[in-house]
Amino acid sequence: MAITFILNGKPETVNVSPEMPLLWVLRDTLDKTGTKFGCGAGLCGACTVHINGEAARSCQTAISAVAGKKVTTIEGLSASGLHPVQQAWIAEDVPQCGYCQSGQIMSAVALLDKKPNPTDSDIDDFMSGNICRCGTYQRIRKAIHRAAATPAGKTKSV
Amino acid sequence: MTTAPVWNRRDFLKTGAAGGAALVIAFHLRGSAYAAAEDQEKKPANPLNAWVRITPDNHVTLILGKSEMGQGAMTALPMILAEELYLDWKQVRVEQAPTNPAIYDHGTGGSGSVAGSWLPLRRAGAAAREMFITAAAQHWNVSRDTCKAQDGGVLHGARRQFLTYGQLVDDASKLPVPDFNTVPLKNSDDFTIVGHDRKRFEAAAKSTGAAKFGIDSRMPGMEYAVIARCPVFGGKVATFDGAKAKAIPGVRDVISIDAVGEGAFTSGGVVVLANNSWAAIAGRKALNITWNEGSNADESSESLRQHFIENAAKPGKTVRNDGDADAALNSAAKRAEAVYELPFAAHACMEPMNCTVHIGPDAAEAWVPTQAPQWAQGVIAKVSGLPP
Repeated sequence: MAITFILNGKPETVNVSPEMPLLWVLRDTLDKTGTKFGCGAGLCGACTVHINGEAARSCQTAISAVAGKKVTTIEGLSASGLHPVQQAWIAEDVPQCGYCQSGQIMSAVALLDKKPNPTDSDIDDFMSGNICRCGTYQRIRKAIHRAAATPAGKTKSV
Repeated sequence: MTTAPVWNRRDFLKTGAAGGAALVIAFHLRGSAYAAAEDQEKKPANPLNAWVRITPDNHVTLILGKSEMGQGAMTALPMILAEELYLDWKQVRVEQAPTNPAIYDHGTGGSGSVAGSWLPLRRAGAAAREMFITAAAQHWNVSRDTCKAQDGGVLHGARRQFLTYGQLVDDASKLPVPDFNTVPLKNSDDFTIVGHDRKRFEAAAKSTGAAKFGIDSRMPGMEYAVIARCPVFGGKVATFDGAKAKAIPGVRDVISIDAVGEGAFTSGGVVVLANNSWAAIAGRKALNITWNEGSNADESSESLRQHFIENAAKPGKTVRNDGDADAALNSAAKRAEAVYELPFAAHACMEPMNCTVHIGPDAAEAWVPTQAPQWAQGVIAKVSGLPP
């Protein structure tokens, strides 16, 4: 079944089973491997993308549900260069093994879209669905505060 | 036993690459800081697993047989080398070594990467630095004592002259390598890199989705498999019904495989083969399997705990024996006793266990996120019938 959606600003048409999760369309069909498969059950947050600007778990979202919608992945967060949240991530040296970080960053951008100046508890609440096995939570918090302090950090993703 | 590496001339070599294009120093890093003495004796005769490559473009690359798993080894180890070499941190690169068991011992574990690499890397860095200083002194025709390493080159104090290591590579590569056991090491008070924060090399790649994990490996026309494994260690497939799985679009086949070797690393199971990950996962959920759980069927967290308690009560294996612990304890004014228990738990890394293999007629290529690539190499050799 042919399904068309907007991926990182460009239309994509895929011919896959309508119940195939967006995660596997991204990773296997479209070779966008920045979005990660962690648990496949919506519990870890590694697969987080934006659908029409909202953070969503791509492993729990059937491709049929994103027809006609705008999907943003870590690869498309910024039209040119690095999104301010990615810059903050690098400046704070957040990643360790790095496997969860695409999802963490996608959630952080969604948080800053809603709350441009989040408190620690806002961050903890919003980010609680993104698990980091290395325990980088302290630096994630610092990076979100750093991004919030830069005016460009509050701009919406594409 | 000794806890510091023992050096002999066989442990390292020096080569000037064709045309003297690079100074390469090879040496042996120990995989585990406190490996038992007998394990050390089993090491191959020429275990070179890390190389320093210094090229005329003034880049210094450490080629490491270590896995970066988020612990920071691929940044921490270059820091140790850079310290003794007096490098400008911007010059430093790191590469993961190819899996060649004749040269590299890739094991990464036991929290041993930094502890086991500390002296070897310092000695290698110091040896290269001394060679550059000698080469510069000869170039200027001055006394060695008037030259010192600084910012990735050699400075001649009196004349204010400076040559980068890149400029000196050709000459330095023709000099004898100093004895690693006696080469002078930096005083820790003078450290400018070790003990000071340095950013990880891979932070940008891991913040943009560009970093390639094992599970991101892609080959043209590759198939995807998900394996249902027995929930009990050592268990085997008794019977299985793959009909429902095969009915799922994208599923190509359902087969059973036997265990290879021993232990959980290579247990067998039922494989669902598909042309995409989702079909393979859905197919695995649709399997109907009866397991023969074998001799460990009654194993549980509690039975494991009992097993640990029984084993802990037995005399241990001596790995290191400093002083007389029993005498010290018996004569102590105050003794404290405590029992610490840890569960038998998996590492629970977020990247699911995975591996990508391309087996050809003469060779197999594999992309495996692992601490022990050589184990994987051995298993692939056994399954494929190819030489390891």
